[in-house]
Amino acid sequence: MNINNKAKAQNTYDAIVVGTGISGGWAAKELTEKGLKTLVLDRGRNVEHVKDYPTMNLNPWELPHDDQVPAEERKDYEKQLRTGYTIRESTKHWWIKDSEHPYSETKRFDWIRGYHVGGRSIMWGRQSYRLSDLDFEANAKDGIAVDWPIRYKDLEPWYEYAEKWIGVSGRKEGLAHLPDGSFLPPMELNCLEEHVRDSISQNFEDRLLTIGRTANITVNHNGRAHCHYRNLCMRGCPFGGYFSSQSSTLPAAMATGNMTLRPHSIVTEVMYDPETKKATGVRVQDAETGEVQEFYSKIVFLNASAIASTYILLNSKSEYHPNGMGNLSGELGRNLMDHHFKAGAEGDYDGFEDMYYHGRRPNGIYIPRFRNINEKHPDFIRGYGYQGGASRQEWRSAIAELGIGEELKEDIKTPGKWRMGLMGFGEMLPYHENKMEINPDKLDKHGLPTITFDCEFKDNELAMRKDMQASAAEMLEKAGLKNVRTYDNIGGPGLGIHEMGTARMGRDPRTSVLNGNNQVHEVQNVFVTDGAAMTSSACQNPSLTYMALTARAADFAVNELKKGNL
Amino acid sequence: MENIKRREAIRRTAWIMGGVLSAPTIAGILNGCTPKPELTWTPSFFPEDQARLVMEISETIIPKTDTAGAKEIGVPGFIEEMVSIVWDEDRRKEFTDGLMKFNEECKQETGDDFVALDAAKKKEFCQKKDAEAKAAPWGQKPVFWSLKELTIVGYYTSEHGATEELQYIAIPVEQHGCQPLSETGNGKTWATS
Repeated sequence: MNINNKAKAQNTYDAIVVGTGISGGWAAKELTEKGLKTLVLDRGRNVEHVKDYPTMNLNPWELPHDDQVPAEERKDYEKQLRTGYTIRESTKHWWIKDSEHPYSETKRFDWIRGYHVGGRSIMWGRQSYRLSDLDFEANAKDGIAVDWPIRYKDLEPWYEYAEKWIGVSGRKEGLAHLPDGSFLPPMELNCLEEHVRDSISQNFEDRLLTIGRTANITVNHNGRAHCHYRNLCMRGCPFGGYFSSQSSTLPAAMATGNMTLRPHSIVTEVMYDPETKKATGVRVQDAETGEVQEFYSKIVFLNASAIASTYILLNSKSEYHPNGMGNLSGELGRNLMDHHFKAGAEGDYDGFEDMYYHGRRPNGIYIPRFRNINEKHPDFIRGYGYQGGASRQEWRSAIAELGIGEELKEDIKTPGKWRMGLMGFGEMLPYHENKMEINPDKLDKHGLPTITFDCEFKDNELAMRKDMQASAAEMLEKAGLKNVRTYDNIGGPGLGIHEMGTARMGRDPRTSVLNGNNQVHEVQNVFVTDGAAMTSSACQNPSLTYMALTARAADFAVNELKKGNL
Repeated sequence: MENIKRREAIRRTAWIMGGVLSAPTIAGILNGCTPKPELTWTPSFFPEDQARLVMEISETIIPKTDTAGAKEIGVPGFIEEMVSIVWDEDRRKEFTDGLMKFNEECKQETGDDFVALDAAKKKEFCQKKDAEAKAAPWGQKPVFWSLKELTIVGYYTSEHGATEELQYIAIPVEQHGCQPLSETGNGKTWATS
């Protein structure tokens, strides 16, 4: 008894955070800064800032075979390869091997992920946009799915709080439906982007082009050095020029002295006490030794990513929660969303031949949503924004041009024609039938059940994609671009790496998993603040919203703890 | 090239390759009217005739001028590594089959193996193949397309290609969106984007 009590005391914390990616790092920072002794778990290896970025300084000629991964090795990454850009010699160590971590697909779903401390905060695209009431009111107005239990005013101070900490560069544009943030100075548009921006403003009163709002810092900020324009972010940044858990939130959490970080810790379930109707902690399987341990806490934050947090809840079965913890509604694992993208247009431009640019800008342009704001589009609801940019063709374009020998060598020295592309990123609706389920028949290398996805895009997304192409072409042509071509390569849901919605927030425990403070309706000391919480997807890149939701929920949780309510 | 110099060049190449050529072999190379070009690396995948073909095509695509050509930069070895290690089996076979076909077509058209042609004739034949490759639809590109791609990629991702032929700054520090080309470093194409 005595020994057990001692062991239990050793494994007891005020809070447990599961996951160390974008939202987990934020939960760790907020809870520890508010004085909670916090155990922070990650299923993967530890990654220390700078020290563990093995490829960060390699020049092109220092990477083997044009940074491409050999055929034999590619077999391990069957699904991760679907993006076309993630599995490179310089970045492959950030992504899981599908051969070790399999999943199944009733319908195609691209689950692209990494298992290490910092998670996808190391490899993310860094685009940081606020949602607005156009998004928070959308489900209620359209009468689909369920209403978000929060509005913009609930999240606005937390967006501000998150932006000020991480540093987001961008330009204020005064749009109600894409609220301005607390921005560091914007990066510069290039000559053709400036030209297209002016053309759009003159020709389309409902549209504008702005520089991407990105979590790359343009001035020194919060102890981190400004972006040095290498555009090698995904390898990890020696300057801390962009937000990652390693560069930003985890050091802050560590500095409090309240964080215990435990890598190689696979959380298999959240434990439940039927008497208190609260979670008591989590069960952990050590990824290296297989040893199973229990850890205890007053509150649990699930930040393992939408799919993994939902998996843990689905796997937390008891006689009280036969279908998984928080699944009274039957919505856990459903309403799976991503963004649909890779539809748009590109064209060539004659001109600016004597103009160029300096520095590799790790950011593009953004054209905020302009559909279904005041007028209704006849073919689809919701909308999309464009990302993209212009550049001069570089040496690789010589492959497709006629010419060899001395002439080729000479031609290649001068930058080629200007080109610009616009790619739509569109909202995907929450469909009840789009789901993930636990597959007990197929086990991974740890002997744990795997996941089966059944998810698809439907008519609204497909109709929107036609407009994504047509409107992109229209804007480029109006701006005088030539040879404008449209494209549509839809891919599978998941390819946007914005998985969302599988434990959605809502007002009613009968139709949603989480309440307006991200508490599991039925187990109020369990919080989920990653992509799983999203009630609708909006069309903006979602990570900034996860940060704001996490900081807000952590604040709420600590206040409730103080009041004795949790 | 006079014989003494050539002999020295061949010896040096052999030394770089870690091999030793016997005197009769060198004499054979020197005396032949159409000597087989000496390999600049030790192929581990291509048979020697294919290796020579790859080497000579890449040097025709990016020849030595007042600056280094493909051979000197090690492009042939890069091509071999890409084809043998990075590409999958189907693509690899397509490539080696395509190489043989390339040489057959060359023989039919010129009466000679490609490697036996002089530089001007090599270029002339490759220009034809370049035009054919450009005209061919996606999915049906002949081997020359791959050779051109691999040669260009191998050359311009090398330190020489990136920093001498083009311009490269490892750490640009600043970003300027729109400035005169003449004021952008040395005014050449950036090696990386």
